[in-house]
Amino acid sequence: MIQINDLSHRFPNGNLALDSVNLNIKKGEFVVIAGRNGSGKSTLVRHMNALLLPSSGNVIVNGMGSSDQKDHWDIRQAVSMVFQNPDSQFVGMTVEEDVAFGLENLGMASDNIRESVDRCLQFAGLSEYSKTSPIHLSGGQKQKVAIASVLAMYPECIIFDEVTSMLDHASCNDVMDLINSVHKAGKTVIHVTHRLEEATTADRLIVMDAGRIVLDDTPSNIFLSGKVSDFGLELPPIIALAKKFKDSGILQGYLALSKDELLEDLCQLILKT
Amino acid sequence: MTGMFFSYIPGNSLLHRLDPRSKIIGIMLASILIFRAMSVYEMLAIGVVFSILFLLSSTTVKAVYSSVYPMRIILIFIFTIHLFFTEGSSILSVFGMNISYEGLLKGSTVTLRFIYLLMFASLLTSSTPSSLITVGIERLLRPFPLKVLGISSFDLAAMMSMSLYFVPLLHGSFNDLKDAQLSRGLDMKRHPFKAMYSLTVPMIRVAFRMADDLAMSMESRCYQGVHRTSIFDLRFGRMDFLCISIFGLLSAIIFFMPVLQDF
Ligand SMILES: Nc1ncnc2c1ncn2[C@@H]1O[C@H](COP(=O)(O)OP(=O)(O)O)[C@@H](O)[C@H]1O
Ligand SMILES: [Mg+2]
Repeated sequence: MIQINDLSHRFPNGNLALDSVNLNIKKGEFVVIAGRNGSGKSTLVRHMNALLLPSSGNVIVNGMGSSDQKDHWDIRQAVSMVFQNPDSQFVGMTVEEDVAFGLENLGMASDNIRESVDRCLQFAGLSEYSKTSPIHLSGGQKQKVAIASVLAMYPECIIFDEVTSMLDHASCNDVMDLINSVHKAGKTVIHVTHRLEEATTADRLIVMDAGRIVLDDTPSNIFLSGKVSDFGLELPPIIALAKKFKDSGILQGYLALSKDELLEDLCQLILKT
Repeated sequence: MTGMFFSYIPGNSLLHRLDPRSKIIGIMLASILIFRAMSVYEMLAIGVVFSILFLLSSTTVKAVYSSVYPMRIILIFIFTIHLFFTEGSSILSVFGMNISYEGLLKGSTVTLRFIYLLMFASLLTSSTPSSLITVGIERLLRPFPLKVLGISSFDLAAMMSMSLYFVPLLHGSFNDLKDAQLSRGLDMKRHPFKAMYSLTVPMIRVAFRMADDLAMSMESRCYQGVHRTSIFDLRFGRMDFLCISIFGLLSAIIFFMPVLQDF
Protein backbone atom coordinates (compact mmCIF):
# COMPACT_ATOMS: atom_id res chain seq x y z
CA MET A 1 0.00 0.00 0.00
CA ILE A 2 3.01 2.30 0.46
CA GLN A 3 5.50 2.46 -2.35
CA ILE A 4 8.69 4.49 -2.13
CA ASN A 5 10.88 4.96 -5.18
CA ASP A 6 14.37 6.44 -5.07
CA LEU A 7 13.41 8.78 -2.25
CA SER A 8 15.99 11.34 -1.14
CA HIS A 9 15.45 14.07 1.39
CA ARG A 10 17.68 17.07 1.95
CA PHE A 11 16.81 19.47 4.80
CA PRO A 12 17.07 23.20 4.08
CA ASN A 13 20.33 23.34 6.07
CA GLY A 14 21.93 20.88 3.66
CA ASN A 15 21.63 17.68 5.75
CA LEU A 16 21.03 14.71 3.47
CA ALA A 17 18.74 12.66 5.74
CA LEU A 18 17.58 10.10 3.16
CA ASP A 19 19.66 8.83 0.29
CA SER A 20 17.76 7.05 -2.53
CA VAL A 21 15.53 4.80 -0.45
CA ASN A 22 13.40 2.14 -2.14
CA LEU A 23 10.71 0.43 -0.14
CA ASN A 24 7.43 -1.33 -0.67
CA ILE A 25 5.09 -1.99 2.22
CA LYS A 26 2.20 -4.39 1.70
CA LYS A 27 -1.25 -4.13 3.25
CA GLY A 28 -1.50 -5.83 6.64
CA GLU A 29 2.24 -6.11 7.12
CA PHE A 30 3.90 -5.50 10.51
CA VAL A 31 7.18 -3.74 9.75
CA VAL A 32 9.75 -2.64 12.31
CA ILE A 33 12.23 0.05 11.32
CA ALA A 34 15.36 0.18 13.48
CA GLY A 35 18.59 2.13 13.36
CA ARG A 36 20.79 4.37 15.44
CA ASN A 37 19.83 7.98 16.31
CA GLY A 38 19.96 10.23 13.30
CA SER A 39 19.87 7.38 10.80
CA GLY A 40 16.80 8.88 9.11
CA LYS A 41 13.97 6.78 10.50
CA SER A 42 11.70 9.69 11.45
CA THR A 43 12.42 11.43 8.19
CA LEU A 44 11.49 8.30 6.24
CA VAL A 45 8.20 7.68 8.04
CA ARG A 46 7.18 11.34 7.85
CA HIS A 47 7.25 10.96 4.09
CA MET A 48 4.71 8.16 4.37
CA ASN A 49 1.95 10.49 5.55
CA ALA A 50 2.95 13.61 3.66
CA LEU A 51 4.31 15.52 6.66
CA LEU A 52 7.51 15.82 4.63
CA LEU A 53 7.78 15.94 0.86
CA PRO A 54 10.52 14.34 -1.27
CA SER A 55 13.52 16.34 -2.47
CA SER A 56 13.68 13.76 -5.23
CA GLY A 57 11.98 10.44 -5.95
CA ASN A 58 8.38 9.75 -5.02
CA VAL A 59 6.11 8.28 -2.36
CA ILE A 60 2.85 6.62 -3.40
CA VAL A 61 0.19 5.74 -0.83
CA ASN A 62 -2.80 3.75 -2.10
CA GLY A 63 -2.09 5.06 -5.58
CA MET A 64 -1.90 8.70 -4.46
CA GLY A 65 1.40 10.53 -4.85
CA SER A 66 2.45 12.73 -1.92
CA SER A 67 3.65 15.42 -4.33
CA ASP A 68 0.04 16.31 -5.08
CA GLN A 69 -1.10 18.75 -2.38
CA LYS A 70 -4.78 17.95 -2.78
CA ASP A 71 -4.26 14.27 -1.86
CA HIS A 72 -2.52 15.08 1.45
CA TRP A 73 -5.62 14.85 3.61
CA ASP A 74 -6.59 11.51 2.06
CA ILE A 75 -3.08 10.19 2.58
CA ARG A 76 -3.07 11.34 6.20
CA GLN A 77 -6.37 9.66 6.80
CA ALA A 78 -5.11 6.39 5.32
CA VAL A 79 -1.75 6.53 7.14
CA SER A 80 -1.79 7.91 10.70
CA MET A 81 1.13 8.58 12.95
CA VAL A 82 1.82 8.42 16.70
CA PHE A 83 4.84 10.37 17.93
CA GLN A 84 7.64 9.92 20.42
CA ASN A 85 6.86 12.53 23.06
CA PRO A 86 3.73 11.57 25.00
CA ASP A 87 3.24 15.13 26.25
CA SER A 88 3.25 17.25 23.16
CA GLN A 89 0.63 15.58 20.97
CA PHE A 90 -2.55 16.42 22.84
CA VAL A 91 -5.06 18.95 21.65
CA GLY A 92 -8.07 18.18 23.80
CA MET A 93 -8.69 19.13 27.39
CA THR A 94 -9.94 15.63 28.18
CA VAL A 95 -9.03 12.20 26.87
CA GLU A 96 -12.30 11.83 24.94
CA GLU A 97 -11.92 15.23 23.30
CA ASP A 98 -8.44 14.36 22.17
CA VAL A 99 -9.64 11.11 20.66
CA ALA A 100 -12.46 13.03 18.96
CA PHE A 101 -10.12 15.66 17.47
CA GLY A 102 -9.37 13.85 14.20
CA LEU A 103 -13.02 12.94 13.63
CA GLU A 104 -14.08 16.54 14.23
CA ASN A 105 -11.63 17.55 11.51
CA LEU A 106 -13.24 15.05 9.16
CA GLY A 107 -16.59 16.73 9.79
CA MET A 108 -18.35 13.72 11.31
CA ALA A 109 -21.66 14.22 13.17
CA SER A 110 -21.62 14.38 17.00
CA ASP A 111 -23.42 11.07 17.57
CA ASN A 112 -21.08 9.16 15.29
CA ILE A 113 -18.04 10.80 16.88
CA ARG A 114 -19.25 9.80 20.33
CA GLU A 115 -19.75 6.22 19.20
CA SER A 116 -16.30 5.87 17.59
CA VAL A 117 -14.59 7.55 20.52
CA ASP A 118 -16.18 5.16 23.00
CA ARG A 119 -15.26 2.18 20.84
CA CYS A 120 -11.62 3.24 20.49
CA LEU A 121 -11.23 4.06 24.17
CA GLN A 122 -12.57 0.62 24.99
CA PHE A 123 -10.18 -1.01 22.52
CA ALA A 124 -7.25 0.78 24.18
CA GLY A 125 -8.57 -0.06 27.67
CA LEU A 126 -9.05 3.59 28.59
CA SER A 127 -12.82 3.87 29.02
CA GLU A 128 -12.56 4.90 32.67
CA TYR A 129 -10.35 7.88 31.80
CA SER A 130 -12.58 9.44 29.16
CA LYS A 131 -13.24 12.63 31.17
CA THR A 132 -9.74 12.91 32.62
CA SER A 133 -7.25 15.53 31.48
CA PRO A 134 -4.34 13.84 29.67
CA ILE A 135 -1.97 15.74 31.94
CA HIS A 136 -2.96 13.51 34.85
CA LEU A 137 -2.10 10.26 33.04
CA SER A 138 1.14 8.27 33.12
CA GLY A 139 3.45 8.21 30.10
CA GLY A 140 2.21 4.81 28.96
CA GLN A 141 -1.43 5.84 29.29
CA LYS A 142 -0.71 9.03 27.34
CA GLN A 143 0.72 6.99 24.47
CA LYS A 144 -2.33 4.73 24.57
CA VAL A 145 -4.55 7.82 24.28
CA ALA A 146 -2.49 8.95 21.32
CA ILE A 147 -2.96 5.50 19.73
CA ALA A 148 -6.72 5.59 20.40
CA SER A 149 -6.80 9.06 18.82
CA VAL A 150 -5.40 7.82 15.54
CA LEU A 151 -7.41 4.57 15.62
CA ALA A 152 -10.56 6.69 15.78
CA MET A 153 -9.83 8.02 12.31
CA TYR A 154 -9.99 4.49 11.00
CA PRO A 155 -6.65 4.51 9.15
CA GLU A 156 -5.45 1.53 7.15
CA CYS A 157 -1.92 1.96 8.40
CA ILE A 158 -0.48 3.35 11.63
CA ILE A 159 3.10 4.51 12.06
CA PHE A 160 4.55 4.45 15.58
CA ASP A 161 7.64 6.67 15.69
CA GLU A 162 9.64 5.60 18.75
CA VAL A 163 6.50 5.70 20.89
CA THR A 164 8.12 3.51 23.55
CA SER A 165 11.44 5.33 23.88
CA MET A 166 10.34 7.64 26.70
CA LEU A 167 8.49 4.98 28.71
CA ASP A 168 9.50 2.70 31.58
CA HIS A 169 9.68 -1.05 31.03
CA ALA A 170 6.16 -1.93 32.22
CA SER A 171 4.45 0.82 30.20
CA CYS A 172 6.56 -0.19 27.24
CA ASN A 173 5.15 -3.72 27.37
CA ASP A 174 1.63 -2.35 27.75
CA VAL A 175 2.00 -0.16 24.69
CA MET A 176 3.62 -3.00 22.70
CA ASP A 177 0.63 -5.23 23.57
CA LEU A 178 -1.68 -2.55 22.20
CA ILE A 179 0.41 -2.20 19.04
CA ASN A 180 0.27 -5.96 18.53
CA SER A 181 -3.50 -5.98 18.93
CA VAL A 182 -3.78 -3.10 16.45
CA HIS A 183 -1.93 -5.31 13.98
CA LYS A 184 -4.18 -8.29 14.79
CA ALA A 185 -7.19 -6.06 14.11
CA GLY A 186 -5.99 -5.95 10.50
CA LYS A 187 -4.03 -2.69 10.31
CA THR A 188 -0.74 -2.25 8.55
CA VAL A 189 1.74 -1.38 11.30
CA ILE A 190 5.07 0.42 10.94
CA HIS A 191 6.91 0.55 14.23
CA VAL A 192 10.08 2.62 14.58
CA THR A 193 12.31 1.65 17.51
CA HIS A 194 15.87 1.02 18.51
CA ARG A 195 14.98 -1.80 20.89
CA LEU A 196 15.18 -4.97 18.83
CA GLU A 197 13.10 -7.08 21.24
CA GLU A 198 10.13 -5.08 19.95
CA ALA A 199 10.78 -6.54 16.49
CA THR A 200 10.22 -10.17 17.49
CA THR A 201 6.52 -10.19 16.63
CA ALA A 202 7.04 -8.33 13.35
CA ASP A 203 6.81 -9.78 9.84
CA ARG A 204 9.72 -7.77 8.64
CA LEU A 205 12.66 -5.83 10.06
CA ILE A 206 14.27 -2.91 8.25
CA VAL A 207 17.55 -1.50 9.52
CA MET A 208 18.60 1.99 8.48
CA ASP A 209 21.96 3.67 8.65
CA ALA A 210 23.07 7.08 7.38
CA GLY A 211 19.89 7.67 5.40
CA ARG A 212 19.90 4.29 3.64
CA ILE A 213 18.16 0.97 4.14
CA VAL A 214 20.97 -1.45 4.96
CA LEU A 215 19.05 -4.57 6.00
CA ASP A 216 15.55 -5.70 5.06
CA ASP A 217 14.45 -9.23 5.96
CA THR A 218 12.52 -11.24 8.55
CA PRO A 219 13.64 -10.47 12.11
CA SER A 220 15.10 -13.95 12.69
CA ASN A 221 17.14 -13.90 9.48
CA ILE A 222 18.57 -10.52 10.43
CA PHE A 223 19.31 -11.63 13.99
CA LEU A 224 21.03 -14.77 12.68
CA SER A 225 23.15 -12.81 10.22
CA GLY A 226 24.80 -11.07 13.18
CA LYS A 227 25.07 -7.82 11.28
CA VAL A 228 22.97 -5.60 13.52
CA SER A 229 25.93 -4.59 15.69
CA ASP A 230 27.54 -2.96 12.65
CA PHE A 231 24.71 -0.43 12.65
CA GLY A 232 24.70 0.59 16.30
CA LEU A 233 22.04 -1.88 17.42
CA GLU A 234 22.22 -4.56 20.04
CA LEU A 235 20.56 -7.99 20.10
CA PRO A 236 18.34 -8.53 23.15
CA PRO A 237 20.19 -10.82 25.65
CA ILE A 238 17.77 -13.74 25.21
CA ILE A 239 18.12 -13.71 21.44
CA ALA A 240 21.90 -13.31 21.66
CA LEU A 241 21.95 -16.38 23.90
CA ALA A 242 19.69 -18.38 21.56
CA LYS A 243 21.93 -17.39 18.67
CA LYS A 244 25.03 -18.62 20.58
CA PHE A 245 23.33 -21.98 21.16
CA LYS A 246 22.42 -22.20 17.52
CA ASP A 247 25.83 -21.06 16.21
CA SER A 248 27.58 -23.65 18.33
CA GLY A 249 25.23 -26.36 17.07
CA ILE A 250 23.60 -27.09 20.43
CA LEU A 251 20.18 -25.98 19.17
CA GLN A 252 18.82 -26.54 15.70
CA GLY A 253 15.84 -25.28 13.75
CA TYR A 254 14.25 -21.86 14.19
CA LEU A 255 15.93 -19.18 16.26
CA ALA A 256 14.12 -18.70 19.58
CA LEU A 257 12.90 -15.11 19.82
CA SER A 258 11.60 -15.06 23.39
CA LYS A 259 12.38 -16.39 26.82
CA ASP A 260 9.56 -18.96 26.58
CA GLU A 261 10.66 -20.24 23.18
CA LEU A 262 14.24 -20.61 24.32
CA LEU A 263 13.17 -22.45 27.48
CA GLU A 264 11.04 -24.80 25.44
CA ASP A 265 13.91 -25.53 23.03
CA LEU A 266 16.23 -26.22 25.93
CA CYS A 267 13.71 -28.50 27.67
CA GLN A 268 13.26 -30.52 24.51
CA LEU A 269 17.02 -30.79 24.16
CA ILE A 270 17.31 -32.13 27.71
CA LEU A 271 14.48 -34.62 27.14
CA LYS A 272 16.14 -35.89 23.97
CA THR A 273 19.54 -36.52 25.59
CA MET B 1 -3.51 25.95 41.38
CA THR B 2 -6.12 25.53 44.10
CA GLY B 3 -8.61 22.78 43.38
CA MET B 4 -11.79 24.82 43.48
CA PHE B 5 -10.65 27.99 41.71
CA PHE B 6 -13.13 28.43 38.85
CA SER B 7 -13.41 24.69 38.42
CA TYR B 8 -16.32 22.67 37.11
CA ILE B 9 -18.62 20.89 39.56
CA PRO B 10 -20.55 18.04 37.89
CA GLY B 11 -24.30 18.23 38.39
CA ASN B 12 -27.67 18.32 36.73
CA SER B 13 -29.14 21.68 37.77
CA LEU B 14 -31.04 23.98 35.42
CA LEU B 15 -27.85 25.97 34.90
CA HIS B 16 -25.97 22.77 34.07
CA ARG B 17 -28.54 21.81 31.47
CA LEU B 18 -28.61 25.14 29.64
CA ASP B 19 -26.76 25.51 26.35
CA PRO B 20 -23.31 27.05 27.03
CA ARG B 21 -24.16 29.78 24.53
CA SER B 22 -27.08 30.94 26.70
CA LYS B 23 -24.81 31.12 29.69
CA ILE B 24 -22.10 33.03 27.83
CA ILE B 25 -24.67 35.54 26.55
CA GLY B 26 -26.04 35.78 30.10
CA ILE B 27 -22.57 36.54 31.47
CA MET B 28 -22.09 39.23 28.83
CA LEU B 29 -25.40 40.88 29.75
CA ALA B 30 -24.53 40.65 33.43
CA SER B 31 -21.13 42.28 32.86
CA ILE B 32 -22.75 45.21 31.07
CA LEU B 33 -25.08 45.72 34.01
CA ILE B 34 -22.29 45.34 36.54
CA PHE B 35 -20.09 47.95 34.89
CA ARG B 36 -22.92 50.41 34.64
CA ALA B 37 -24.19 49.94 38.18
CA MET B 38 -23.74 53.05 40.35
CA SER B 39 -26.54 53.21 42.92
CA VAL B 40 -27.18 50.98 45.88
CA TYR B 41 -30.46 49.88 44.26
CA GLU B 42 -28.72 48.65 41.13
CA MET B 43 -26.15 46.82 43.21
CA LEU B 44 -28.90 45.22 45.24
CA ALA B 45 -30.82 44.23 42.12
CA ILE B 46 -27.75 42.54 40.67
CA GLY B 47 -27.28 40.77 43.98
CA VAL B 48 -30.86 39.48 43.77
CA VAL B 49 -30.31 38.26 40.19
CA PHE B 50 -27.16 36.48 41.29
CA SER B 51 -28.96 34.84 44.19
CA ILE B 52 -31.69 33.53 41.90
CA LEU B 53 -29.14 32.06 39.49
CA PHE B 54 -27.18 30.67 42.40
CA LEU B 55 -30.28 28.85 43.65
CA LEU B 56 -30.92 27.49 40.14
CA SER B 57 -27.42 26.03 40.03
CA SER B 58 -26.15 23.31 42.31
CA THR B 59 -23.09 25.47 42.99
CA THR B 60 -21.94 25.70 46.58
CA VAL B 61 -21.15 28.88 48.51
CA LYS B 62 -17.70 27.43 48.98
CA ALA B 63 -17.11 27.23 45.21
CA VAL B 64 -18.11 30.86 44.70
CA TYR B 65 -16.05 31.92 47.70
CA SER B 66 -12.95 30.08 46.49
CA SER B 67 -13.18 31.82 43.12
CA VAL B 68 -13.23 35.26 44.77
CA TYR B 69 -10.90 34.68 47.72
CA PRO B 70 -7.63 34.14 45.75
CA MET B 71 -8.18 37.59 44.22
CA ARG B 72 -8.32 39.33 47.63
CA ILE B 73 -4.96 41.10 47.25
CA ILE B 74 -6.02 42.70 43.97
CA LEU B 75 -9.43 43.59 45.40
CA ILE B 76 -7.90 45.21 48.48
CA PHE B 77 -5.48 47.08 46.24
CA ILE B 78 -8.28 48.43 44.05
CA PHE B 79 -10.26 49.46 47.11
CA THR B 80 -7.30 51.22 48.76
CA ILE B 81 -6.32 53.12 45.63
CA HIS B 82 -9.82 54.55 45.29
CA LEU B 83 -10.11 55.18 49.00
CA PHE B 84 -7.04 57.38 49.19
CA PHE B 85 -6.87 58.94 45.77
CA THR B 86 -10.39 60.20 45.20
CA GLU B 87 -10.95 63.93 45.62
CA GLY B 88 -13.76 64.93 47.97
CA SER B 89 -14.77 65.98 51.44
CA SER B 90 -12.42 64.45 53.97
CA ILE B 91 -13.92 62.31 56.71
CA LEU B 92 -10.79 60.79 58.21
CA SER B 93 -7.06 61.25 58.02
CA VAL B 94 -4.62 58.31 58.24
CA PHE B 95 -0.82 58.78 58.09
CA GLY B 96 -1.33 62.23 56.65
CA MET B 97 -3.52 60.91 53.86
CA ASN B 98 -7.11 61.93 53.50
CA ILE B 99 -9.95 59.49 53.16
CA SER B 100 -12.92 61.13 51.52
CA TYR B 101 -16.55 60.16 51.58
CA GLU B 102 -16.49 59.98 47.80
CA GLY B 103 -13.42 57.74 47.94
CA LEU B 104 -15.14 55.34 50.28
CA LEU B 105 -18.17 55.20 48.01
CA LYS B 106 -16.20 54.80 44.78
CA GLY B 107 -13.85 52.23 46.32
CA SER B 108 -16.75 50.13 47.51
CA THR B 109 -18.58 50.39 44.18
CA VAL B 110 -15.59 49.42 42.06
CA THR B 111 -14.54 46.59 44.37
CA LEU B 112 -18.07 45.26 44.53
CA ARG B 113 -18.23 45.30 40.72
CA PHE B 114 -15.16 43.11 40.53
CA ILE B 115 -16.51 40.77 43.16
CA TYR B 116 -19.79 40.47 41.25
CA LEU B 117 -17.92 39.74 38.04
CA LEU B 118 -15.95 36.96 39.70
CA MET B 119 -19.12 35.55 41.24
CA PHE B 120 -20.99 35.45 37.93
CA ALA B 121 -17.97 33.91 36.21
CA SER B 122 -17.81 31.21 38.87
CA LEU B 123 -21.48 30.40 38.14
CA LEU B 124 -20.55 29.81 34.50
CA THR B 125 -17.43 27.75 35.16
CA SER B 126 -18.93 25.67 37.95
CA SER B 127 -21.90 24.65 35.78
CA THR B 128 -20.09 24.25 32.43
CA PRO B 129 -17.04 22.08 31.59
CA SER B 130 -14.31 24.19 30.00
CA SER B 131 -14.62 22.18 26.78
CA LEU B 132 -18.24 23.24 26.41
CA ILE B 133 -17.36 26.88 27.10
CA THR B 134 -14.85 26.66 24.28
CA VAL B 135 -17.36 25.11 21.90
CA GLY B 136 -19.94 27.74 22.92
CA ILE B 137 -17.56 30.61 22.24
CA GLU B 138 -16.62 29.06 18.89
CA ARG B 139 -20.27 28.81 17.84
CA LEU B 140 -21.04 32.36 18.94
CA LEU B 141 -18.04 33.72 17.04
CA ARG B 142 -18.69 31.70 13.90
CA PRO B 143 -20.93 34.27 12.16
CA PHE B 144 -18.35 37.05 12.65
CA PRO B 145 -15.92 37.73 9.82
CA LEU B 146 -12.73 36.77 11.68
CA LYS B 147 -11.14 36.00 8.34
CA VAL B 148 -9.98 39.61 8.08
CA LEU B 149 -7.74 38.83 11.05
CA GLY B 150 -6.45 35.75 9.24
CA ILE B 151 -7.96 33.21 11.64
CA SER B 152 -11.17 31.23 11.91
CA SER B 153 -13.43 30.70 14.92
CA PHE B 154 -12.17 27.10 14.80
CA ASP B 155 -8.58 28.27 15.18
CA LEU B 156 -9.59 30.39 18.15
CA ALA B 157 -11.37 27.48 19.82
CA ALA B 158 -8.41 25.16 19.19
CA MET B 159 -6.06 27.78 20.66
CA MET B 160 -8.21 28.14 23.76
CA SER B 161 -8.35 24.44 24.48
CA MET B 162 -4.67 23.89 23.68
CA SER B 163 -3.55 26.68 25.99
CA LEU B 164 -5.59 25.17 28.81
CA TYR B 165 -3.55 21.99 28.35
CA PHE B 166 -0.24 23.65 27.48
CA VAL B 167 0.11 26.19 30.26
CA PRO B 168 0.46 23.57 33.03
CA LEU B 169 2.71 21.54 30.75
CA LEU B 170 5.05 24.48 30.07
CA HIS B 171 5.00 25.29 33.76
CA GLY B 172 6.19 21.75 34.43
CA SER B 173 9.02 21.95 31.92
CA PHE B 174 10.04 25.34 33.30
CA ASN B 175 10.45 23.79 36.74
CA ASP B 176 12.50 20.92 35.29
CA LEU B 177 14.69 23.40 33.47
CA LYS B 178 15.16 25.51 36.59
CA ASP B 179 16.20 22.44 38.58
CA ALA B 180 18.61 21.42 35.85
CA GLN B 181 20.25 24.87 35.78
CA LEU B 182 20.33 25.16 39.58
CA SER B 183 22.03 21.79 39.89
CA ARG B 184 24.65 23.00 37.44
CA GLY B 185 25.46 25.92 39.70
CA LEU B 186 23.18 28.67 38.43
CA ASP B 187 23.11 31.42 41.07
CA MET B 188 19.87 33.36 40.83
CA LYS B 189 20.73 35.80 43.63
CA ARG B 190 24.18 36.87 42.54
CA HIS B 191 23.68 36.92 38.78
CA PRO B 192 19.97 37.58 38.24
CA PHE B 193 20.40 38.69 34.62
CA LYS B 194 22.59 35.76 33.65
CA ALA B 195 20.10 33.48 35.40
CA MET B 196 17.22 34.99 33.49
CA TYR B 197 19.07 34.48 30.23
CA SER B 198 19.99 30.88 30.94
CA LEU B 199 16.37 30.13 31.79
CA THR B 200 14.50 31.99 29.08
CA VAL B 201 16.60 30.97 26.09
CA PRO B 202 16.28 27.20 26.63
CA MET B 203 12.65 27.70 27.66
CA ILE B 204 11.86 29.37 24.35
CA ARG B 205 13.55 26.47 22.61
CA VAL B 206 11.46 23.97 24.59
CA ALA B 207 8.26 25.86 23.83
CA PHE B 208 9.00 25.97 20.10
CA ARG B 209 9.89 22.31 20.08
CA MET B 210 6.57 21.48 21.76
CA ALA B 211 4.65 23.73 19.39
CA ASP B 212 6.34 22.02 16.46
CA ASP B 213 5.46 18.54 17.76
CA LEU B 214 1.91 19.63 18.41
CA ALA B 215 1.51 21.14 14.95
CA MET B 216 2.79 17.88 13.46
CA SER B 217 0.30 15.87 15.51
CA MET B 218 -2.58 18.16 14.51
CA GLU B 219 -1.62 18.09 10.86
CA SER B 220 -1.32 14.33 10.78
CA ARG B 221 -4.86 14.20 12.17
CA CYS B 222 -6.10 16.34 9.29
CA TYR B 223 -6.55 19.67 11.11
CA GLN B 224 -7.03 22.40 8.52
CA GLY B 225 -8.60 25.21 10.56
CA VAL B 226 -11.66 25.13 8.33
CA HIS B 227 -15.12 23.87 9.14
CA ARG B 228 -15.10 21.06 11.67
CA THR B 229 -17.71 19.41 13.85
CA SER B 230 -17.60 18.70 17.58
CA ILE B 231 -18.12 15.69 19.82
CA PHE B 232 -20.41 17.97 21.83
CA ASP B 233 -23.79 18.49 20.31
CA LEU B 234 -25.11 21.90 21.35
CA ARG B 235 -28.88 22.22 21.42
CA PHE B 236 -30.45 25.62 21.91
CA GLY B 237 -33.77 24.40 23.30
CA ARG B 238 -37.02 25.93 24.49
CA MET B 239 -35.61 26.23 28.00
CA ASP B 240 -32.68 28.27 26.69
CA PHE B 241 -35.04 30.55 24.83
CA LEU B 242 -37.15 31.04 27.94
CA CYS B 243 -34.19 31.65 30.24
CA ILE B 244 -32.50 34.10 27.92
CA SER B 245 -35.78 36.00 27.48
CA ILE B 246 -36.39 36.27 31.22
CA PHE B 247 -32.78 37.18 31.86
CA GLY B 248 -32.84 39.75 29.05
CA LEU B 249 -36.01 41.31 30.47
CA LEU B 250 -34.54 41.49 33.97
CA SER B 251 -31.37 43.03 32.58
CA ALA B 252 -33.37 45.63 30.68
CA ILE B 253 -35.26 46.58 33.82
CA ILE B 254 -32.05 46.96 35.82
CA PHE B 255 -30.44 48.76 32.90
CA PHE B 256 -33.18 51.38 32.83
CA MET B 257 -33.53 51.63 36.61
CA PRO B 258 -31.66 54.96 36.82
CA VAL B 259 -34.04 56.41 34.21
CA LEU B 260 -37.12 55.00 35.93
CA GLN B 261 -36.07 56.52 39.24
CA ASP B 262 -36.26 59.99 37.75
CA PHE B 263 -39.99 59.65 37.29
N1 LIG C 1 14.44 19.70 10.74
C1 LIG C 1 15.67 19.27 10.44
N2 LIG C 1 16.57 20.11 9.86
C2 LIG C 1 17.80 19.68 9.56
N3 LIG C 1 18.26 18.44 9.76
C3 LIG C 1 17.43 17.55 10.32
C4 LIG C 1 16.10 17.93 10.69
N4 LIG C 1 15.49 16.84 11.24
C5 LIG C 1 16.39 15.85 11.20
N5 LIG C 1 17.58 16.26 10.64
C6 LIG C 1 18.76 15.44 10.40
O1 LIG C 1 18.41 14.36 9.58
C7 LIG C 1 19.04 13.18 10.00
C8 LIG C 1 18.00 12.11 10.25
O2 LIG C 1 17.17 12.49 11.34
P1 LIG C 1 15.96 11.62 11.85
O3 LIG C 1 15.16 11.19 10.69
O4 LIG C 1 15.26 12.41 12.89
O5 LIG C 1 16.69 10.37 12.49
P2 LIG C 1 16.12 9.27 13.50
O6 LIG C 1 14.66 9.42 13.60
O7 LIG C 1 16.55 7.98 12.88
O8 LIG C 1 16.82 9.50 14.81
C9 LIG C 1 19.85 13.53 11.22
O9 LIG C 1 21.19 13.68 10.82
C10 LIG C 1 19.29 14.84 11.68
O10 LIG C 1 20.28 15.63 12.26
MG1 LIG D 1 13.37 9.83 15.27
